[in-house]
Amino acid sequence: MGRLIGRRLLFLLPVLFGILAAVFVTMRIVPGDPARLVAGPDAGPEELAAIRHQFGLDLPLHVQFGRYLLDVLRGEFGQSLKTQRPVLDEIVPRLWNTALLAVLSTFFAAALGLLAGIVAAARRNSTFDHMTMAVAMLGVSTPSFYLGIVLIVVFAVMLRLFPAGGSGGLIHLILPAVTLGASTLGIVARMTRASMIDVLDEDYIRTARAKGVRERVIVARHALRNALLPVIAVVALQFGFVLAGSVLVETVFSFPGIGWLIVESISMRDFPVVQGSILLVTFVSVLVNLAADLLYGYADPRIKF
Amino acid sequence: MPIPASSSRPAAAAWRRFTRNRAAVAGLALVLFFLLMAAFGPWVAPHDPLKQQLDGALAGPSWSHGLGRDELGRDILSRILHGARISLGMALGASLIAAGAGVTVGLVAAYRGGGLEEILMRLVDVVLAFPGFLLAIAVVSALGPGIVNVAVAVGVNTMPGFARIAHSTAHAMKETEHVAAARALGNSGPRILWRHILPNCLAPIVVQFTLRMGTVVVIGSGLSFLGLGAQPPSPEWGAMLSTAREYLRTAPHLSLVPGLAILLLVLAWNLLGDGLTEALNPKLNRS
Amino acid sequence: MNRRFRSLGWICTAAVLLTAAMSVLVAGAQSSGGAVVLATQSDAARLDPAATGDVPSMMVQSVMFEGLVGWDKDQKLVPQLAESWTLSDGGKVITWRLRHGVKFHDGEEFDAPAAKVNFDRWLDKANGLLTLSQFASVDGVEVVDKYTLKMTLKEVNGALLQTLAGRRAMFNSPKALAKWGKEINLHPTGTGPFEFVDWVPKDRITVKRFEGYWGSKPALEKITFKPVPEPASRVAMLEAGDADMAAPIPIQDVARLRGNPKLHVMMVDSLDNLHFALNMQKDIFKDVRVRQAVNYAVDKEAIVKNIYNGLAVPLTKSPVSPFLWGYSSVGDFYKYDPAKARELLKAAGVKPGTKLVMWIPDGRYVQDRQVGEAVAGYLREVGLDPQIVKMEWATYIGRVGQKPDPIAPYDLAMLAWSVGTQDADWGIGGTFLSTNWPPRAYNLAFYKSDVVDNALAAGRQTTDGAKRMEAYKIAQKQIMEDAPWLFLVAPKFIGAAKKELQNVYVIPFGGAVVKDAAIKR
Repeated sequence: MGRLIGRRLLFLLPVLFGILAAVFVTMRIVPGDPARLVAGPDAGPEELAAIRHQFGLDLPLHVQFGRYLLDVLRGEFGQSLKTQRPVLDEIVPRLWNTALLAVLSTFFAAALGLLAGIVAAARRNSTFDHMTMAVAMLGVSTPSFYLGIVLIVVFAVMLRLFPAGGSGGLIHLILPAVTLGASTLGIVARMTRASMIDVLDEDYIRTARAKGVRERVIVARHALRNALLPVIAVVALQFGFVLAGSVLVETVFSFPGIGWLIVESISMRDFPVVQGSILLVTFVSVLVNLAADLLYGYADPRIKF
Repeated sequence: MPIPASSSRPAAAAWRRFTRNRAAVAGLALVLFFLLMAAFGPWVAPHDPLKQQLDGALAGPSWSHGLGRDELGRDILSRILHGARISLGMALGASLIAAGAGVTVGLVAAYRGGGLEEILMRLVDVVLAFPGFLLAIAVVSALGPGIVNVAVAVGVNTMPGFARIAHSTAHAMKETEHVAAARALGNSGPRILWRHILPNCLAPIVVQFTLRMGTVVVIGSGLSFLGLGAQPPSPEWGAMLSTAREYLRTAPHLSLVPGLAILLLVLAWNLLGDGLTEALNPKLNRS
Repeated sequence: MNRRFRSLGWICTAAVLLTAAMSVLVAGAQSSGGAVVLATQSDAARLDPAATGDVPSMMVQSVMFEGLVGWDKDQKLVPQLAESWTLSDGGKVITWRLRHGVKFHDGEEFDAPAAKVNFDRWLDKANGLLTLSQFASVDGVEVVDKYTLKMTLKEVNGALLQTLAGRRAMFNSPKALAKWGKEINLHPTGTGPFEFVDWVPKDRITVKRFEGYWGSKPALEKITFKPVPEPASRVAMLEAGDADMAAPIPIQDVARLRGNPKLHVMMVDSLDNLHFALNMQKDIFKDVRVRQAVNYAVDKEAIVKNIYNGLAVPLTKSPVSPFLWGYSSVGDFYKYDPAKARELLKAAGVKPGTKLVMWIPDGRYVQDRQVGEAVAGYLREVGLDPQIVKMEWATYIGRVGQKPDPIAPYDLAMLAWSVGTQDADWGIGGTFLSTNWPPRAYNLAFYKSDVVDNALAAGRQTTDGAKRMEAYKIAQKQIMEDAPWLFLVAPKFIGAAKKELQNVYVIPFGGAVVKDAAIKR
């Protein structure tokens, strides 16, 4: 296990390097002058030159990149071009917000999905089963930005039960979390059902049934434990996916998360913020994937490292 | 395409399984419906999707405008019908790019082996490690807005899945007698890949294609939603949804319709993909 | 099994507790007592007046900082930190008599030496501040005595007073400047009625009443500026009571907010003169008939009525907004006439189906995208083929400001030229002076007219108000006749606040003024 972790962490480095290089170069070759953005339309050429010099934007590309790499290794992510505050100051609160949203939505979606999948599998082909799978399918197929809009129209505008967006308390998290969780719910429900069905048909389950063990005990003790494995992996993967794909939901709900920060910063050509946030999000994603693998391995006694 | 003689009976059995699955058939029907809409929509549309009439702005559904009018007085129904072509075109283009690039990379990597294989598959892993949607955003930001660039961005995003499937299938086949025989007969590398290995990858690739279509449509319209895709006045569904947000309270019909269209398209491909998976791999989801 | 379920239960509890704890961290400011929450469009970029040009920054700065002169509610020039001033040497020397008893937020006194420190900083090329071009005509300032400042100009500049009132020329405490250097942006120390408390990036900026203020103490104790980029959320916050004021308000919500008895809606003609600059480097727009045709093709009244719900002024009488100092109505130009447009195009030899590349920014100006699309629709109806290229603001402002290579790639480019000086010199000159072609400034039409150049120079070189108005009138008339632009509209700037919040108003440059506000219960 130690070797696996080591190998995966080692793999992390070239990935981060590659991504960083790609983002770095991309941001600088696209049109759009950050100095102009910082100064505003009525700044003269002398002011622009001064700003560019201040941020080292007039240096050759490889020099800029080299400097940036060294800084990152020292833990310095630079300053936002727009606000001149440390990049980490901008990123961390937003990353925190998105992580919170991701945890909340994944947790409840997984719990509900698990429950639904188990019951659906136990009552195979019943009305409940069909309906649950239909809802799950809808959850997977509905684009998050559409679901968010519909929820806003129904719950915030028409029924006035929830705020239409923004931040400021637990209640602001609910609609976005539901929106984000919809696809996880669908995936987990379907996966659990499939997994449970596979397990429920295994010989040892039939044996238990023949021995007279109660159905409920069979489901809970024997089937569940084994069916859980792929679901755990999927949930962990979904978490990573949600962390990255939250931008659409954040936009719809004006939620101050990392996805929105990235899109905004790309818009504003705020290079240090873009680089720093993509770096951190990727780092977290890869760690989450690693955790998923480990979790899977831990839960399944058949897998050895 | 030569069908290996041993698989003709399973193919017929797969078809039977497919047709028995009502959800799968529904998916197929819906996909065909959208393909027809993409092909013939513009002819059937009652109005010019670009014709604006400012004083009719935001009108609700009526006899002459079945789904109402948007913020510039344009007919929503006509825009939806024209938009099908754009959404499907983008999705198919992106998927073809992904499949083409991915399969090529996967096959070459598996067949050549050694250092090249390592490098290529590592590259695939890097692309995969990149947080999904962000990769697409980064690519589109680099290339500039526009539906073609969106297709490229989404294609790049989806490529790893195909690469991996092609790679693992080719790897499995590499040491079979089938391939050894072909090589013994003097066939060259590319020929072996094309005539012998590729046909056997086809089934999982087709399944992957349909399974990923849903995601492709969502990412593509998501990018347009963020303003990075189709340019105005193009009636792309994601872009329509985005502009409709400003009118959520005054004219909700503007947002409900295009969103529903996207949902149904994604649902169609998902049902179809599910159906295909079950038909070809009967062990899953026995009922 | 039991073990697994029990651990599941613990995980659930932990998650709920964690969530509750997190939400406390995420919680925002509440409105209560003498404190007011103002929901704005975006976060301030900087809090150093000399380094910023954008509306959100200036809105926050103007409650903390003051300059020699300022504007009152009706946008008339009034003395602020200067009690009076006299001109001499043909207008090339201005002697300022400064107010006594003014303190900075850190306790330092405002006097002539303090003012000089600031001016020297603004004029120093090495600092690269935005004040360089604004004060290009200022040679230097000298301290005559503790409260008297002598300002020497390189040339007479009639617009200088307005520039000084413009929100860049506001003073920071010299002690703070010495202490913080470049970080002064994060430690604003002015003389205004409110002092800085904190700035949580993209979340809020808080200021509190400055007890040592020289003027009448403000009624409010605390103001929180909260950036809420989504217009719908901003309005929702106001309606839910989470914000006491919100600006700008989208057009679509105005009718509904007006009907709400708990709120009042404020509007003012903004300085934004939304237009499409017609690239006169391109052959097609070298012919004045084509430029006029484009103006006849677009129904500006319909745009005002349907896209702005009447809350805009069509630019048919002048290229600039009625609220710009120097505005004159010079006639009634280009009434909607598509037949005439087609006629003119035919006479000029423009073939039907001619492609035109239209550049539009997205989400920068009120209804910019809708207007752009509407214009494209109108142009299509007279036989042209417009291709819209929409860019987000960052890219847009960078690309339109670029040096033409050799000519700019667009045929039409949308812009609205709103100036912090609120004066016609920069307000007209910035976009119509022949020396202001990109990359120097924003004459995106590459327009050159000797009549206009001379008129603008005449307006700058005198301090006589009436003479200046005359000069600018000539310029405006020439511009309307030459039609270097597709003139569109000057939208109103709209804000809304709770009924109890009195004495707040919105200003033409954009933004709200809350420093005199009071809560009446």
